[in-house]
Amino acid sequence: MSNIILRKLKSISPVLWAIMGMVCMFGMISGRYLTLNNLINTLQQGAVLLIISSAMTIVILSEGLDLSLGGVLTVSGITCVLALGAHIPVPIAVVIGILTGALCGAVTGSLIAFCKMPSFIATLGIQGVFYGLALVMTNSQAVFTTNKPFLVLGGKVARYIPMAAVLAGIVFFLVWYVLHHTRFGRYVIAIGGNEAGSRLSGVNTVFWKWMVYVFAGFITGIGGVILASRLEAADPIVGVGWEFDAIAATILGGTSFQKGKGDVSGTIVGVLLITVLRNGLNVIGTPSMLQPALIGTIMIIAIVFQVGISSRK
Amino acid sequence: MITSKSAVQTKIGAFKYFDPSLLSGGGRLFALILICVIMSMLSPVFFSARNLSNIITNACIMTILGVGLTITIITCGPDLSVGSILTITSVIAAIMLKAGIFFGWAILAALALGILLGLLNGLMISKIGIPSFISTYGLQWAVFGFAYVILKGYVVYDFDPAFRFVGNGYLFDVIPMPIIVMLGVVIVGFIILKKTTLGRTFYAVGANKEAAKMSGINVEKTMIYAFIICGLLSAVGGIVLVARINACQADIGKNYLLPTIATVYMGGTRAAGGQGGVIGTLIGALIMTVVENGMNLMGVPSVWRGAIIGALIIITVLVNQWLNKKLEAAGA
Amino acid sequence: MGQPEYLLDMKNINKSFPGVKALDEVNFSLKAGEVHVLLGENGAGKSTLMKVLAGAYMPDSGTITLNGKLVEILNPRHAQRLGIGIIYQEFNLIPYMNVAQNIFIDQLPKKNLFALDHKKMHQDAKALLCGLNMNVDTHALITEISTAQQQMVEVAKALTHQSRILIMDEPTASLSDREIEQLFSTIRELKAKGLGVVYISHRLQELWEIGDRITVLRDGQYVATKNLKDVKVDELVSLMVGREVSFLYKRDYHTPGEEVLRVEHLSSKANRLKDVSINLRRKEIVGLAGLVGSGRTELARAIFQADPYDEGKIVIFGKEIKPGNPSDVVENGVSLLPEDRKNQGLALILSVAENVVIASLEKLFPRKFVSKRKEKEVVTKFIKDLRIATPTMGRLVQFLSGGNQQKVVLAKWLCTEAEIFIFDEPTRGIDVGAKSEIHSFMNELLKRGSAILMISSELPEVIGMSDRIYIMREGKIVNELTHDEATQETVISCATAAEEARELGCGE
Repeated sequence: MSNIILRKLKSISPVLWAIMGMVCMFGMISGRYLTLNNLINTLQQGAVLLIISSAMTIVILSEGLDLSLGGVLTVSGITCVLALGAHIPVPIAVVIGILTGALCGAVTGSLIAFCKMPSFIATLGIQGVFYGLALVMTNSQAVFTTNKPFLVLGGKVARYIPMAAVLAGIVFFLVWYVLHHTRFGRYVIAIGGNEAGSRLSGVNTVFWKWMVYVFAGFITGIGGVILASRLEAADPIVGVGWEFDAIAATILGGTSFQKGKGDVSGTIVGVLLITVLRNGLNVIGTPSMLQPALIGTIMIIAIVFQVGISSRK
Repeated sequence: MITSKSAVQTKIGAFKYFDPSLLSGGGRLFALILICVIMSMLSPVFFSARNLSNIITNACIMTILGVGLTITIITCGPDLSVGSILTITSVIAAIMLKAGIFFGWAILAALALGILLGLLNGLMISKIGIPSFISTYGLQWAVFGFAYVILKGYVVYDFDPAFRFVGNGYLFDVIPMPIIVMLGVVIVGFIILKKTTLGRTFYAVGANKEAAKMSGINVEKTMIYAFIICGLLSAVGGIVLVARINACQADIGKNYLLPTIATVYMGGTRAAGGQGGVIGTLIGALIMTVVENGMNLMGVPSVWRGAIIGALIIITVLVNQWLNKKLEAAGA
Repeated sequence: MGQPEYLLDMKNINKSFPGVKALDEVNFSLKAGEVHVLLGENGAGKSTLMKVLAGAYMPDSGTITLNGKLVEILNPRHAQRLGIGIIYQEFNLIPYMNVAQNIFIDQLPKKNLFALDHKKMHQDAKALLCGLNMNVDTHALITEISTAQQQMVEVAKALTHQSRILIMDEPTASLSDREIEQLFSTIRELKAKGLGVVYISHRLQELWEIGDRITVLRDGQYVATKNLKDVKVDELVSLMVGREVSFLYKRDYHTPGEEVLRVEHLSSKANRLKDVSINLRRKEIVGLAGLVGSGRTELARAIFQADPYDEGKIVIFGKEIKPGNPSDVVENGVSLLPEDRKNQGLALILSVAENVVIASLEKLFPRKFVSKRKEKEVVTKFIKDLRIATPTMGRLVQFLSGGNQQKVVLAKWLCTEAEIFIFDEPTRGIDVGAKSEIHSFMNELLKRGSAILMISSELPEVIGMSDRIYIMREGKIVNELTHDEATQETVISCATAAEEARELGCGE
């Protein structure tokens, strides 16, 4: 067991150092950084990213890629909020939102597993369809909700702890559990590690590959519902760019594009890095105009290092 | 069925290096669509002046970007950063123009930046080994971010007329300049792909990277060149666009990526590389133009556009895949 | 009455592929508790026979009887259900998953509706492996264990399907002596359990230690089945090889010219090459003989700079070549016609013409522009000279026959005006007519002053065509024979370490 932990630490230690370095740096630059308030904010901001990144990690472990998860995030939030607007009880609306995500994943998965399309083209194309649906469903504007019970999902527990973070933790644990303790999780690694060999060994790789995308959509659907609750609205362009963050978090967490190497547990570190970066830059007063460029560049550099170093091993 | 396909195959031999996937099963489909294109162009509704200008602009920019994208798809994989490179190069040019710098330098700077970004893509993909769609997708975000940093929310407009000639002018008083540039790009692209040794290496690397390496081709250099050309052409597109609409803002290139990808795949270029050409892309652009025009005429709300384009990409690739399978089965 | 003596009885098995008869009236039987060795040179039919048994191929005719019942094996899954397990040389294992999960991948045990029962899995895996006398940490990832241990995992995997018959294809190819001992003790355990093991190998020095009976195949035909204790090394070698050299290879022998290639002490840990030194001169064909896995292709690739190496010096035309890319050596006039011509030698979706000129772009078109006229001229000439059967030069290469595809690869290199040719299995899978054509092209090349390094698994070809032969075994050069010294027996002897086997007194 300790062997596994050591192994994990070794693969992500540069990222951990980077996080610690950033925390120190931000702390030195601004007095407002190392506060409880900010910590809570950080947890809040990282929650949904953790959820969508976990989903993305599963897909990447199967040697695939899902560029449409941002769209799935968006659409599932919208169906949930619209359902609330139609006076559907909160629990059912939430389920509707989550199932929408799964449905999106089912469509995407069909193209990839059954029609054998390369995953990046299929998901690039279907992403446009999802956003189109989002715009149509909301008439191109954000749909607000004031449904109190629903907003609990985005609120706080025990006055301090963000509910979103708690839920994200639960979802993360769920994904981890599925990956390590269910047949499906093992099939994910099998498909990513040796698809042909697994098929020859008797695994129904086509069906389970489809399931990967259904599952990713399902998990992302949960994230979409939580996001909508936090924002108190469903926004048709809310998900734009999230898939890149999710991919970056996965890679920085030590997961490789090939061979089924990696784990969700690394992804949480990747999410931490990105969230700390974004939050920190904000707190120290970086002009918001500068942020996307800075963050994008830093993340590319980080990815180049991570991929470059691991391919050298 | 099989006989007619073999007959077409033999005719293909006579055409020498014409792309087979353009002429056989898929070709008949495109011929059909081409006819529709021509017919709709002849129809009076098409020539509503309001539309025409926009349509020409879009078609030209898509083709120019499409040529670059075709080259990278043939060699390796799609360059998803074309929209962002278009944006930032035009932003840089716009600023330089506004600062009173001679338009020639502005254009040169934009082109140089395009080459540089293309080089960056090429290095990340060939030397570091990051898959092309990830690295170009990531670069896109960073570059859009920088464009935003530079230009913020402002719109820059009213440029030096000498510069604007590229977008607004007419050659021989009749043909709009963007079309000239587009045709020029297509011709240059065609020459590079079909008539130069560099083009041959693009096809070779795309068709079989390992065999290309074992034939003595420098695969890394080839991939880098492909992305440099694509970056350069994205910059060209940016210049033409800004010159034509006489304005520039930080999200100017946002909506070009998906339609351009659709254009290239519709033109018959193979998703896995090694086959395809700019003529196909030109045809694809015409088809996309008709599609967009059709959507305009039918009053399709703009919210549906993205979805339709996305669906088109998927359908096109599926059809291409299916056709290729049939072609292989028939020809064997 | 009682138990059938044979687990398996294959009779009169025939299997043909386009252009080649792989199996011709072959018989093979297997008793419970026996290790039956299947012996033969490359291309003798061993792999094909076993693939028929494993359900990967359907035989054209013949009968297969399992435990006294006539069966028809429809596909690999069916074979598995019938109790036939096969361990290929390429393992079907998942790299970043642990041993236990790999073993049970298609029947992962659950303790309730969702959760995997890890404890049971590891217990059962451990039990299986111990039953094989194997000590492997079931929690270890496949990437963390040795090849020998991976093989054990595959054996355990096969056993989870209640296999009664286990086929092992060259199991000792990459094992150390100690690991081989462990493998043998595992096999003895299997014997004790009543399984039958088909053991495909050419390493004569170990056959007597593990095998009970031995069947020899040659050129797709059944030669003989003997008890290993009744047979000696020399007899086996002559059974493997004993054929009339029925058609003469026409070779014009020249006095070799200057040395054009020299390899000094080349070693590569990753590709298992050990201290290889060879040289090659103009106007001669140097053959590289050896059995599958002996390192010949790896050596060729190292010379061609397609794979990196750790130590050694390569000198081409008097110039030392620094490790780099194939483009470096191609520039210097070296060519490689790969063994896997479809995946490494050709771009299948490109045309004949495009494939022919692809390595000579700079030479043919120095000004970077492709002249269609020149291309047509050059390609037409090659099509004519090499007699490539294609309706037009624009035909996609994927539609050509194997022989013609090889000619396109040859044309590609002739076009580069290379002077050093490395042929890796030049006539494999090619019909007789095209074979002799390619041999006569080789003669032509020599006349022009070129040098040829030829890897071939066909003994008559290697002996008939070479001026000198290097014999490789396990990544080393073990012998060098001149044309006169080389006979099929001596080559096979060296390649299979028959000498060693003799020294060990095998079969005495």
